[in-house]
Amino acid sequence: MKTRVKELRMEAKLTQQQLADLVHVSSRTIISIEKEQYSPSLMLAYRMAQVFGVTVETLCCLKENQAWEDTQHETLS
Amino acid sequence: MKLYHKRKLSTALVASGLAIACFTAYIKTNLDLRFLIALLLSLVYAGISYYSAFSKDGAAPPMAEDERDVFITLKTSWTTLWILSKLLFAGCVVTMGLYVALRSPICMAVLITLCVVSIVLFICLLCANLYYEKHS
Repeated sequence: MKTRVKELRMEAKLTQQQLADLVHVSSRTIISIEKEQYSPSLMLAYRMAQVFGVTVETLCCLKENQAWEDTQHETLS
Repeated sequence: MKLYHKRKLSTALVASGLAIACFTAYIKTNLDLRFLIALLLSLVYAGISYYSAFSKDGAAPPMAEDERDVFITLKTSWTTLWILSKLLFAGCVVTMGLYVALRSPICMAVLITLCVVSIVLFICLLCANLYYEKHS
């Protein structure tokens, strides 16, 4: 899933480890989220959104991801 | 001495019982080497289990706390199960073919064992699935 974690983390001048510590996960989880290899849970997304002071919708690029998922769904059906 | 892991202790007791049974069989079968090997293996396993039961270090690895680790563990388990079931099925087909070709009773024994393992695996999977359908 596409997210804005890397962009927002850079803006907040946080390292991956610092962000990981703030949201109680490992730095590998943050790396995977930034590489779009892993989709965060709702609670983790909420925690990260709180750290960056944005909404979950903004953090997780809701509109873009929804559009992509809709396209995928149409392709399958 | 404090007991840390009851499950390990029960395993150790079962292994000890097995060791006693092996020892009895070893004596009664005029020192058959098979029972001596089984006895030694049971004793080693019992020893390790007793050590783990009374040791703090004997604890099972803690459950992963990180959500990605949990996700990876789930995916790994599922992939392992998938590979194992396919291998078992392939083994069943191969041994069935060998039995048809060679008419060897060993092939039949292997085939039955593999089929039983496949069926037990399927039943376990079904039970686990039903449990989590109701409790998740």
